[in-house]
Amino acid sequence: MRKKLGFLLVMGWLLMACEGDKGEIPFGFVQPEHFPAATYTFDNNPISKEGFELGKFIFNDPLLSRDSTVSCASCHDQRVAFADPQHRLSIGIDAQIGARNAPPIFNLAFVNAFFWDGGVTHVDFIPLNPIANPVEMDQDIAVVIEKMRASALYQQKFATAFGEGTEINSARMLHALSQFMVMMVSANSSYDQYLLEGAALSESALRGLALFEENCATCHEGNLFTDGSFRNNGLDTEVTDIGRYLITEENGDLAKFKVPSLRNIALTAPYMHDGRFETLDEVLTHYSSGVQQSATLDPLLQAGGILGIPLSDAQQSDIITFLETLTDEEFVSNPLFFAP
Amino acid sequence: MVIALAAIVFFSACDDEDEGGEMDMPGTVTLMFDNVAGDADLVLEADASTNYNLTNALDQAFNVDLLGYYISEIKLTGMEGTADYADEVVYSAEEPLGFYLVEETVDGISGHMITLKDVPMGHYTSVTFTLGVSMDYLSEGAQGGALSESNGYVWSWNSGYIGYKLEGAAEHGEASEHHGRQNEAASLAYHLGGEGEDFSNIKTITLDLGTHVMISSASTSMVTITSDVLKALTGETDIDFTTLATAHAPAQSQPIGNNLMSAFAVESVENDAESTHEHE
Ligand code: HEC
Ligand code: HEC
Ligand SMILES: [Cu+2]
Repeated sequence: MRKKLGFLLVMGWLLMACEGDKGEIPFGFVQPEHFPAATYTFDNNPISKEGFELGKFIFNDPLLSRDSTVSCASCHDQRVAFADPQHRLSIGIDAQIGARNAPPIFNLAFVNAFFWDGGVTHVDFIPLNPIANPVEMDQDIAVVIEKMRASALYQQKFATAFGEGTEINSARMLHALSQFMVMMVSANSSYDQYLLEGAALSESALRGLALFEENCATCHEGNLFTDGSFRNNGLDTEVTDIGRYLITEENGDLAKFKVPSLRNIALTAPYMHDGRFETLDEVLTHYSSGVQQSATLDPLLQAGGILGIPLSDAQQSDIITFLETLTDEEFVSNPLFFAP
Repeated sequence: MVIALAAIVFFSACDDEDEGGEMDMPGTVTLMFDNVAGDADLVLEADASTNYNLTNALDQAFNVDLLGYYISEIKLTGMEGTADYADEVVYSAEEPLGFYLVEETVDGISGHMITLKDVPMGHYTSVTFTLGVSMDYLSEGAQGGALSESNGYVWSWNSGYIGYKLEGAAEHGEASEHHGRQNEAASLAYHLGGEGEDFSNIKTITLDLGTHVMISSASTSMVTITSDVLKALTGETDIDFTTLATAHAPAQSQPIGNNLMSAFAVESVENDAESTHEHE
């Protein structure tokens, strides 16, 4: 029943949004026409400007960490599509080294599998992991809530976002962070402009696009550039990180990782779950001649008994030129997401 | 059409009331959860205590410093024309309904008195509940109240609520790493939840009410249900602290999940309406 009510509210809000003046763009989530439909539960957590602003504030606040030194933004920087430009493996509290490379953050509203192993299936639950993780922020979420309740500034911000007299609780804190993060939509790269408006791409980029569709798009599929599956793309012969196995406990999932989106990929070096490649050149060399045989290596990368995807140097460089058209300058320079 | 149906329901409701007169008020059933260790009440120890006051089926000494579990989706099965009763379930970031977190430490127990309101008059023969939180509610995102993430029962690395949490220390249990992501201070830590391809640690448990719950107008009944930690560690599988001191992942904790199917029992039923509603 409440769910229906929420849905009606969202519908009402959508209708109101449509009636708004042409001059002022109403604040809210906009579904890009060439993306799959958003799956985030907006009816349980309707987006508001105030909720978004609160989420942005929390994202940038080191209060979330045990000794108030690390914020979400410490590892997720807008200038590189909210990836970590500094570290191969992320560095958290007490300068401890994490196990994996911090991925970029965008287009979370359209998928239901987060982290490299897809262990978390709803945007709202993403922050629980970095906050509790002893090598990231190392703090009990209950303590975070206590700190916020004790802060006059937070009391005021939660009241503005969720209504006067609302209690600060973990659900609202997570909802605010989600509002901020699901609004991070990246859908306006040169490639999108080519796709939607027929803007020109260079000859090399067009050749790269054709090669990409032929060789890469089965896994890096569609306009999100991922089919959402978990695969082993041949980084190692031995298992160095169990990957998806942690979640499914199936041997067939050892060393498999979520197929990552390739949007903004030119900005988000280093590459792969452990950040082992520093450049896209290295990535293309890997696919072309570095793929390693192992028990769970993806069949697509050993088709016809040939390991990897043999590509000439010219072909590799065309693919890279195409990947560079996936950079969304508007997204990484959008003042909406600037730290408060 | 909907209006017509509603009207019919409305009228039949009135009919019922006519038959029973003004006495037909729904009653209240309280489920009281009582943690035990075999025949004795469960005595908890402080965190990191080295006093091992319990022994498992393999004669290994241990103690418990925290026992917590979710009870949800409670139902009472009616007999002789009594319709089944289902506790209302609502997920919400403010105040969800129908989810109860029972938690006991050395400092005391909380959440163990669950009140079912508006239970219609009649006789109820069994109680059914979910031990844990169904995965269905997970896809709705962050929740408040008993389901609050800050209660410490939402996994951060995997998807799901921990439905049953047993922590303590064993005299000869090895401290181990928390699935590679966290250090585990307690040497015994069983965090049950989640599902696999062909199993689920979210259990549906049905208990016979030896004495029936009998609700007459506005009456109250109290059902005491015991939860036995020793039975959680024996039954289908004897849990050996030297080989399974911690279990956090779904498949690993499956044996305890199966043991839990027989760890709960109805200890007593008290009806304040017994005198007016005798039942053989
Ligand atoms: C110490 C660095 C660090 C901090 C601090 C940090 N993260 Fe991350 N973040 C990571 C790493 C590393 C991963 C990948 C972990 C993995 O997949 O195992 C990640 C993954 C993510 C993802 C998943 C993206 C995807 O598509 O799967 C999101 C979203 C995210 N973090 C948001 C946050 C938020 C919100 C906070 C603050 C509450 C935060 N992070 C704090 C390092 C960090
Ligand atoms: C069999 C499926 C598959 C195919 C085919 C494939 N990839 Fe990947 N790709 C993956 C997976 C899985 C990962 C993540 C692997 C990891 O980190 O362990 C990945 C990672 C990447 C990354 C790093 C992304 C990041 O954020 O770190 C790039 C870049 C990339 N692939 C480009 C390509 C290109 C270009 C092609 C075609 C030449 C291609 N991929 C073909 C599955 C595939
Ligand atoms: Cu655990």
